Amino acid sequence: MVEARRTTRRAFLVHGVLAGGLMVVGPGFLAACSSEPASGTSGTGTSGSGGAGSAGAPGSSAAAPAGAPQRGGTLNFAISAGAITVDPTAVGDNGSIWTVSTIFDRLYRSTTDGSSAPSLATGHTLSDDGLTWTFPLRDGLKFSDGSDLTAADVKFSIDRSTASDENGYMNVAIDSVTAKDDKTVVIVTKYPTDLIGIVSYFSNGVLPNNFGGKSEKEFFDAPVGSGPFTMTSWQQGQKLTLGRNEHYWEEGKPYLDSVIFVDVSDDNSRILQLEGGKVDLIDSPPWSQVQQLQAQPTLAVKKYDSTLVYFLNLSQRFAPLADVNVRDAINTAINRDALVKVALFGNGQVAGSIFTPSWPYYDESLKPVVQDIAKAKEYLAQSSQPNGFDVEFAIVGGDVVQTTVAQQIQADLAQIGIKVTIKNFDPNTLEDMFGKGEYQIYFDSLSLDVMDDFENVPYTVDPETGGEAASANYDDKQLVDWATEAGKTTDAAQQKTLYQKIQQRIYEVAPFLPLYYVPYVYAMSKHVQALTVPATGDWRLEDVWLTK
Amino acid sequence: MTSSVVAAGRAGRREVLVRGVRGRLFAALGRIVQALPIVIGVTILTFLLVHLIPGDPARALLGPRATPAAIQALRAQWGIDEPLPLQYWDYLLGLLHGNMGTSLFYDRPILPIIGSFLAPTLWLIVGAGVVSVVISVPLAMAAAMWRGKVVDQVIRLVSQVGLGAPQPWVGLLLILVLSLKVSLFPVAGFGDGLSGHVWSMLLPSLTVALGMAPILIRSLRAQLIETLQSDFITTARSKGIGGGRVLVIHALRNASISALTILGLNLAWLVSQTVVVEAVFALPGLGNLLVNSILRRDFPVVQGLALVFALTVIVINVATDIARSVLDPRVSV
Repeated sequence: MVEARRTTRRAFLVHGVLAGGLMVVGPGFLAACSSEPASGTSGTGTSGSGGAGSAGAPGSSAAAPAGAPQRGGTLNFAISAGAITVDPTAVGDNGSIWTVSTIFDRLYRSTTDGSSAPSLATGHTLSDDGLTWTFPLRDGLKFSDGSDLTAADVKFSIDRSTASDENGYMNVAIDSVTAKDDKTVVIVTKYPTDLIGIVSYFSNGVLPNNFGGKSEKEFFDAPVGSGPFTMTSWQQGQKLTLGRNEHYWEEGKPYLDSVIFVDVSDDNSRILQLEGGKVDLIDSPPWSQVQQLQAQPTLAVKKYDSTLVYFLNLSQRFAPLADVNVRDAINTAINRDALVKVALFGNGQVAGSIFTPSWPYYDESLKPVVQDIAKAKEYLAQSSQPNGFDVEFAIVGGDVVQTTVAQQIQADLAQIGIKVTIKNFDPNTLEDMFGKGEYQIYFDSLSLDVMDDFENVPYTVDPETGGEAASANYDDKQLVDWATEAGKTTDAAQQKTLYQKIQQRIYEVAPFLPLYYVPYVYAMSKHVQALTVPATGDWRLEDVWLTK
Repeated sequence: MTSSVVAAGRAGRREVLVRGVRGRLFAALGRIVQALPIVIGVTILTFLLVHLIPGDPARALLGPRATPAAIQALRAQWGIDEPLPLQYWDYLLGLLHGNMGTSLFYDRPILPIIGSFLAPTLWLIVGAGVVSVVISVPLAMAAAMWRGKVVDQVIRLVSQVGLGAPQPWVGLLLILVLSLKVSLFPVAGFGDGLSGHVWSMLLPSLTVALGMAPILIRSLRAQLIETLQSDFITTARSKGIGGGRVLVIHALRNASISALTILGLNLAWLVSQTVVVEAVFALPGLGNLLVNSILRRDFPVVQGLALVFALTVIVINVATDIARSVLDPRVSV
């Protein structure tokens, strides 16, 4: 018995090491085999349509002549965060906003070239005093249930939006909405303002007057709109199905029979579903996987210019950050190029202005601040904290990008004697902290949902709105005045002057430190054609068609 | 494992009362009733935990542009601005009337919501249990029969690795190899129809089972070894009954008791695994619902799920005990 045991122990060691080694090395081989080496080989090609898709060009890729659009088919879309509600006045998250935009159409809609174009309306006229806007409606407009769409429906919808808690702020300039006749909507404003952006806002999507006789709850269980699609079924949190609206006003569109949104929050799972052919389209692949996806011959990756900017919100409740020299020191110590390279894997652009290039009146003369450690040290020496200080950086726990950015900035600031402690929170807690101003440095973002700076600027600079400035305890009377003025004029030249002054001042005073702009990235099977995504992010699914 | 010794002592006294189907049923009901204070304790604990962590569902639902007035109005509408004891009392009263409340986010009653997310999780738990037994029993048998030899060592080593491997990683690896490299299984989702569900749930069940199996193998192996060396096996052998039959008929039956016990004891672990595995395989199950509801601070859903899980674990534990008592007359419910 003793003999046998001794042999067994040695055999165990040998076999154990072999088995253990295989266990460790094996998966590595498997992982390497499953994705082609991205560097070198097909890297530059970026699957053809990748190049044409960027720079906000309408989705039909110039490099891929796939012929005339074919009608039919179902688009399976695995989305990272699906809709939470389909009531256009109650939406706040992108998933809901963009889904709602396919169901409910509006008087005007934002386009891919940075403006708004007539949708339900055919155009508009403005009275001499700049207060009365008249919108004639298209002929033959119908809702998805076949009933006629008239001015009374538009009035009901806009009034409802004005009264909503979440989105009413956008309609604050509206004094009255009248249905002059069945086909004419007249909106009177309290002061001259750019109403086109306002009526393009998703919250002003048009529903039937009085919900077509149903109760509000009944209506939103089976919503009726005039957008390209209707909602045919919805298992909340799981799957939402859209069907073609046969009464949609744009001739021939949508091409798709249906769209199925599947909620898949796990990044890896989304990619696997696309690679496995279970879905045709996914959003937001992790930056580290973009290149690997581009290298796959059956897939296409498209990047669309967005209105997204990421920045640091510095709380001036925390004494050191109330000192502009300290903020300048931080601003000059950050290596933005490294951030784009390391956190975004190159899929972004360093930011100068807090506006992104796609926002109206973007000031491109405001260059991104380049890292200069010597200069940063000078700023700090002149400040109230010449010996550095400790500061806390609040981010979403487990978020790879935020963690990388925070670590990078932590290393940057260490060079000038500022010690950063990174604190992880779950998103809900973080939002709460932000609302109450209970943070020191906060990783923040802004995006526009309409081509009108008014949606974001008061929210950013006016503490009364309870937004960015309120959380940062930053009250700049001059900025607030400019922002208010800009919202009360229809003169484009005047708007430009004001919004550029606002950008410049934010750039100088640096209450917020813009880091980078990122595109919206979608990966899809090669069968998906013509995915158009304007900078506001609301996909034009009515343009999409599928090849066999 | 140790409970059979304790139970044998108890059985002497209670054996007369607990034999037979009716006896067992009454005993089971008694156990469940005894467990009700535990269930209430669970609901109190969950209630406190989820309400006391920072975060506001009203703010989350209304979005970043909502005014403080709007947030306050919604909180009042939902009744979540009242003192905590009062809120809990209302909740308890509702429960007694069979009303589990309404989801803050979905604006629908809780039970139907839980119902719509239930199926994948049930499949996963049952599937994981079945697959782990299917994996563990032959391996444990092999390890026990060739105890000390290479087979035994490898099985034990590999199962150690399985214990340490994180489920999400295992799941992704399985998908990569078995769904992408060779399209043997669907990449994700729950599938349609019975065969669709079976095919879709095999990999997720395997993922969880690979974490469960090491524990089962280790204890089954120990049980089998002990049983193989016990007196009644020696007696059977001396009567001329062959090794394989001996193992299967006698030893396995004994060992199956502990397998069941271990599965039942680890039900809570199984349930917790559904959370990570459902995310990887995009299964619309209770684990997903729980995580999202916690992130959104959807209090009624979190409380509802905690209640459902607590009740399930208790019922399953009682059912396990009944099954054990059927298999082993020494054990009483």
